[in-house]
Amino acid sequence: MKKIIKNIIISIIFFLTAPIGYTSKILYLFFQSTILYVFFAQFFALVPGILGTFVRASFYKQTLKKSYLDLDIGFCSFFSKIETEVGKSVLITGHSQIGLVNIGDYTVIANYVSILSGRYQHNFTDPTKKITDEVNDTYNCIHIGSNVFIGDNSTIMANIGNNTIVGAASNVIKPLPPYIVAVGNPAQIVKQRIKEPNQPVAV
Amino acid sequence: MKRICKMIVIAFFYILMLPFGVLAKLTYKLFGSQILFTMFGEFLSLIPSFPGYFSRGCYYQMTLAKADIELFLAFGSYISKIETRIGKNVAIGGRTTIGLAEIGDNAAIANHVSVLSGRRQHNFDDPGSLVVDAEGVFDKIVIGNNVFIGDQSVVMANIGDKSIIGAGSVVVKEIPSYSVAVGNPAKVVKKRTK
Repeated sequence: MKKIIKNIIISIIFFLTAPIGYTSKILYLFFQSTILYVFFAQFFALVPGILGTFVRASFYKQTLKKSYLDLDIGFCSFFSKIETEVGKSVLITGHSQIGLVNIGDYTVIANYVSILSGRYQHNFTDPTKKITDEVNDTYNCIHIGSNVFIGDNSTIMANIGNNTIVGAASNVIKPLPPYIVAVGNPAQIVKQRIKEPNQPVAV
Repeated sequence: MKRICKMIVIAFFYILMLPFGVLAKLTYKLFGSQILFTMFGEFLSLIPSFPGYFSRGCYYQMTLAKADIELFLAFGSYISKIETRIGKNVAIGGRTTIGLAEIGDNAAIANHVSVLSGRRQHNFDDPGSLVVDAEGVFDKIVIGNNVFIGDQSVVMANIGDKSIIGAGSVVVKEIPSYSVAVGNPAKVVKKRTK
């Protein structure tokens, strides 16, 4: 019964956000302009509570390259790039800002996390140039595996393997392998998550 | 042509922001109170995308001690002290909070950065007093021209011209010009030379 009511509410919200979502998507597909997408992504980030979660899930289902309706994305969090791919049952809590990424299934991202579009998003090579002219350099897609946890206030600039845990306030600058626990600035591996050391790693 | 369109849009937002800016500036000039400045600043930080960028640029140009009308302040960012001075062509990312600071020209600050009003903002020298009663000193942080500050950094000390602060750094001591500094506490790892 509860599930039916929830599904009805989600359907209504999906229907209501459809004009906005699909207009943003069409504008991107035909004119490569993300101006509407960014506007509404930030606008819907401000809708509070469970209503906001449903609105954001519907909007991202309509606009992102891949996303599911069971995406749970909290207050003030948003995806800044329309090319993002998000897996099944992903949970993202409040105030996180996510760039160009490919997130696996069942991944959890905590509060205030920054996921950049790669390590070379800002590549300052020439000290004689103005900083503001060099800010937007190269956007690389970050791959975050399935069943990953990323703690509060972390900054992610490199790929993360499946089943890995990143501690709070970590700064991931080098790719992390699967089945490990990494913490610190820069993030370092502190523990393996497999009981037997020779057990093959499932990727 | 594009420039003219932009000027017209900016003029429109300037008129729209005029009541907020004038009220905030007047209460500060007459009563020395920043209550309205903070309230409008936090409110305007919630406007998404380009209407937000223009409104915040116009509002801070009217209220701050010095700021350019084309200041780029992304979604969720605000400046908490009215005496702050900001140079030309400055870009500030999302959810960044800036205290009492003086930012040079062409500086870029990323997302989730905190620029505090100096290291002594919260003074806990007396263990007998309540932490909530602690009164600190607000120092002005000077950030030079052409500085970049990465995501999730906390800045409590001055940064020289052309320096780059990596993501997740905590700047507790002054960083000289032409350096690349990272880590907690931020240390100079490289010098930028021509």
